[in-house]
Amino acid sequence: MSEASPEGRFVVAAPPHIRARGSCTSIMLWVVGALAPAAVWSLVSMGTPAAITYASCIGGALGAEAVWNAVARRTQTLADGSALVTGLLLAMSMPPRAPWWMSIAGAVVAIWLGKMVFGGLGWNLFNPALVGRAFVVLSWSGILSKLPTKGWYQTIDVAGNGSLDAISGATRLAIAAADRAAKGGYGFDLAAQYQPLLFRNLQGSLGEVSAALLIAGGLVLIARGIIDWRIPVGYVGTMAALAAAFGSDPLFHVLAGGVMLGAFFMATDYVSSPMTRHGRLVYGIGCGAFNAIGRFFGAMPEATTFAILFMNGMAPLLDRIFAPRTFGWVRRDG
Amino acid sequence: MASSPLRLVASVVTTCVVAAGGLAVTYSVTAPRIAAQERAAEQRAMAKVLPDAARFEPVAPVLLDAAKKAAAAGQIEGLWRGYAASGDDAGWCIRVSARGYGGPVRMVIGLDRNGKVQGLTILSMNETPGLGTRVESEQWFLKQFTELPAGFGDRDVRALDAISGATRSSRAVKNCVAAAGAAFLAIRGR
Amino acid sequence: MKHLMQVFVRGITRENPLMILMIGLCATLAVSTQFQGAVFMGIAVIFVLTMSNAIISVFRRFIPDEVRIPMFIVVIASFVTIVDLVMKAFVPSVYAFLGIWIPLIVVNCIILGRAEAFAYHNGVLASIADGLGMGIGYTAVIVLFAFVRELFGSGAVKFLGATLVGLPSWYPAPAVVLLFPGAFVLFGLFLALWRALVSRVGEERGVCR
Repeated sequence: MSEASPEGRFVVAAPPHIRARGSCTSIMLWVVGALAPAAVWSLVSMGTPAAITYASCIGGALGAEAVWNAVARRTQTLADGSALVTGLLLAMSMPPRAPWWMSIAGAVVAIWLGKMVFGGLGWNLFNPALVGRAFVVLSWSGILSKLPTKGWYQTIDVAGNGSLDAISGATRLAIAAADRAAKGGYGFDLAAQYQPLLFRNLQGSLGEVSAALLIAGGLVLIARGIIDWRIPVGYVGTMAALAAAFGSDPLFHVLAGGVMLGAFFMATDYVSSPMTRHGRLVYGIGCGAFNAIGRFFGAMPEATTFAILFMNGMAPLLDRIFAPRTFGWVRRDG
Repeated sequence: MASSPLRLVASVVTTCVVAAGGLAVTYSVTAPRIAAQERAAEQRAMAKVLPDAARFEPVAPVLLDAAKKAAAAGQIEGLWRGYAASGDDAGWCIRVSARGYGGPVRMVIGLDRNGKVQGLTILSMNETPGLGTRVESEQWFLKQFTELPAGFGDRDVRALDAISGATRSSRAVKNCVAAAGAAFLAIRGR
Repeated sequence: MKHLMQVFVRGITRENPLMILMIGLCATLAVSTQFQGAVFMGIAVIFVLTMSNAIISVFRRFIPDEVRIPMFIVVIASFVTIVDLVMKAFVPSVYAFLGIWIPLIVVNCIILGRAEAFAYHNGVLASIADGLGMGIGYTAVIVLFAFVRELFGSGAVKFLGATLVGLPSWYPAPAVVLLFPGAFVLFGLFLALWRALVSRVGEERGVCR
């Protein structure tokens, strides 16, 4: 882009003239690094099935991107690391015992339909990993709900009475939703779930293994200036406030399910979130609000995926609403 | 090009009269067949849910009203008494509907003399294909209702399993069965 | 004759109602979950479109401008009701699937659109050719679309109780293909394919923009 002037003393280049050292790849690697503790912990505590899921999601994402680029005769974009992040995020949103072909299908859909059909990284309207997850959830909810529950994937008897729901390998959120629907209350102590949810939770997707590690990773990204605090704060804050408003335990609802993974790592995706500061705050609040509404009144126990996807669609509009005003110009009508 | 009001009225009226005539002819040709088809579908459904019965008779309006009042969970649409070939009382057939995810789920439920579910089938529904329609395609779901005790109540139905991912559709089917159970308790022995 | 042929072919390719004009999509996405239903939906649309085009074209000089839309609607609604009754009487299983979408053909943009844009201004034969072309163009796309959706969404394509094509039983049919999100995504892919394969022909001749 830049070329030296004939005298070799001035550099002529297109703006911006002040450059940061960060590149797309380095940002993606930071994200991977921030996710790594939780990912490693889930591998350690869940073993082989988790490893298979990680391998098929990440391998599927990288392979899909390479194949698309080869067929469309585009320059290979594997090195920008975004396919790696997509694969990793998809894996962390999958239940560990998901069949390998399901993980690969989700990853291929994530890359192809979530990113490449729009023109590649930077052009996609929706978060690719969430597109992949939405595809999997909508397609095979029957298989997902009947995953084997033997071995380490023990069910928790949160209801305390060996009721049917607890035996079918449901997550805490699913049991909470069933309890709410049946009794209007909860059959187990929500506050007693903080500790497993924070540190070692084997019910749910891989990314739900430890909220504490995800929060730590997210805080590192915020401190490095890689993600904007407005999105996670707006998201988690709204989620907690609405959970309290709907008469439940806010802390439980923030820690359980996909909220932490969504708020810190999925909603903050550069491409599919708004660019303006106010827009980001409103976007975070919207994610939290739809997540809470979906969780309390929807047909499924968790709504993170669709809340964020919906707000992804809103992001360009939010940017337009909160576009910074240009000073020194008079706006013409029209 | 302004036409006279008379011409406007005349042309619209003529069109309507001709169209109505054409429809009347079509209707008179197809109506008997349509009615026959509907009766056959109903008979098939009833024969399926109450295999012991050979013929079905609609019950007296008084009983139907009593059943409708008793069934809070769903809407009772029809009530038949089934008789075996020997003339014995074979039980009841209840056509009932309840609101699902995409509209009403309409079912026919067969109860034996004691109020045990003999069979049940879905007449029509507008649930999401692949998700809500699993209430029909996953056979264990409908089958579990036949294991309810005789004279079951609302609570017995609620305790049964639902299909995960199809909560609202499962609830609609449960509501239908619960309504049939309540209707039976109201009309039993009359 | 050549003109008639042109009018007929235009409805299938260059002005295909679904792929180029993109009208009447709502019913298309809704009923294309089942091949058999789509076939009958297509037949219904061909019948209604051709008949209403013919009738409106015959009487176009007697239809006053001010009340043409109500009169079109009466004509269209009559033919739709005929289809509705006949289907109910003779193919009840198809009718149970198509349900509300048959009466809703009345408000399908394709039919009223062709009445207003073509039949009201053109001769009877041309209008019939237009109705047939548009109807067949619609049917071709919806049948193809439903074939793909049913095959990949439920694993096998059935027609009147017989299985036409089936995927191996280990194929885990993704339900999303049968849901609306899948319908939209697949329709987008269909559009892209159509642009790449079919309407490129017109583009080269400089007629299709």
